[in-house]
Amino acid sequence: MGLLSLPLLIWMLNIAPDDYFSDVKETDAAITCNVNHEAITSDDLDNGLSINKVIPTDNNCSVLLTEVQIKQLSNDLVNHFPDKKDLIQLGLITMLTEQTLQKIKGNLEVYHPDDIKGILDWLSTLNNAAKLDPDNEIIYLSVTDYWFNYLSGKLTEYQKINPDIRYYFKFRYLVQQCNQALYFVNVEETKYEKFKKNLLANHWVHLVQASWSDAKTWQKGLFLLVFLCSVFTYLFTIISFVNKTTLK
Amino acid sequence: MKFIGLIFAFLMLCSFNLIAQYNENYVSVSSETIDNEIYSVIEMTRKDERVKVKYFADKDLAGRSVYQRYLTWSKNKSIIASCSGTYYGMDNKPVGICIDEGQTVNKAEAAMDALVLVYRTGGIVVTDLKEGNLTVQNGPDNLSLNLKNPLDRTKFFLWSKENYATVFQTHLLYYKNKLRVGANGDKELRERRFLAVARDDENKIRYYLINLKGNNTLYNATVKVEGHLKNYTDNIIYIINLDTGAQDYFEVREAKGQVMSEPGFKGNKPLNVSKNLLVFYFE
Repeated sequence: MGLLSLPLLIWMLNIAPDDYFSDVKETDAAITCNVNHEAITSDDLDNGLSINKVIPTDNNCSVLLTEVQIKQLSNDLVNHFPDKKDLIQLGLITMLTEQTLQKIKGNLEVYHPDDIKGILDWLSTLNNAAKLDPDNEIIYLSVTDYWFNYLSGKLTEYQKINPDIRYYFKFRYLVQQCNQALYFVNVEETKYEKFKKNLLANHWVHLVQASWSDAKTWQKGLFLLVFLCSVFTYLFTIISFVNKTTLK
Repeated sequence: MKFIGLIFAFLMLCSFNLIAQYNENYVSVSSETIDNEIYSVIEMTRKDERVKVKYFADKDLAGRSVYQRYLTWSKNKSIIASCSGTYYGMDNKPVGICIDEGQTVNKAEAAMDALVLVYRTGGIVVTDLKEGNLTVQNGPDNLSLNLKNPLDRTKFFLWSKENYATVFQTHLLYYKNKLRVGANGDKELRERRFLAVARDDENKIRYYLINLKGNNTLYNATVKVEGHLKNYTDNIIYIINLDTGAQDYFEVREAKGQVMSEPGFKGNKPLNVSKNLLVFYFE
């Protein structure tokens, strides 16, 4: 019986088993390659920077450029084309957002928490770079904003498709990361789930307040009637018990 | 002498409540029952910029709740009406882009088309996010932004911080003479509340706060309200939705300052449950 009760409790409370992120890198993980800024011409900047010209496509190179790569690329391009600073900025932002998304969109169509964590880790380094590299601050800010906004939207989508993931550690971790960056993931909860959460957290006052506030007038009336009936029943039982004991 | 002084003080106290809170030339309140449904309308003109809007999006940096902030702020204000603004999520945070006096609350864009900007001057502007042509006042110039563009989004957040802007997102129900909500929208039957903005014959902006007491889907309520507003104006610019769900707070005051007790001018929840608050006041 004891053996059966634990899985039953897990099933009832929808508590998912822990699924922690691994620190071990997969062997086929993409590598950081040298960015190719020399091939970029003035016309390329006028027509919009292409990710395919910047990152070699054949060597399993990561499309998530590091802050060092971005800084190097931006500075080299500005040195080569000093009168095209705005175009370089716009080109780099488009390349690191919309074009990069096109490259990895397939991996994000279904919920792959490890891939999302990889992007969030990348954003964390860019966020720090924004504070240390004021010349390229707007690039880092725009790129992190774009991806956080995109990922928070995707996390909202994933949990609508599969509500069970809301109870998984990895999902909660990813949501927390987005929330901390002020990109709140709109995790939906049914009334039953809200009740369960507050019950487990011992938020009794909130439960009573919320139930009372949501109850209709007739429900409040019925509750009061049942409550008063119970009180009187207890009262009469106690009185009759006391009377009987006194008579004896 | 003391007795006369006391009577004077008593009369002053009594008359205090009778001093008009707002000028009725700028605000009119009406209620009508059509097919057993109460349509309550608060019509406010922006003529002379006496009617203003304030939005409380979230707790402030000191951790004071919207309720506490409103109580402190409203002490010397002539309130016309106040109600809950946009929806909020599980973390008690507003759904969609939200900024409170330059302080970012939520940067995640939700699938709702209306981006509402409340200026410090008390004006309110709504833009359709799908159109991508938001124009904001940036000092003496105007700044045109497309919030679908990553660089423009960053510029927008930087602008809102520098200009202490207040921003929130909600559903755009009617815009540029077109209904923007489909019959397949929110099907839940409930009381509905909208903010409509129109231009009058003098080309001045008018705000309409409309409360529909019956139980309606979002689509049905929009169609009804759009039809009902034709009695007031032919030039509706937009209609946006206001939350009547978990934080269904709504309060309207008469010109003399008393809170109206008619059912059409009241929400179902108290002020202290409101996670965000849209306030119309007179100055």
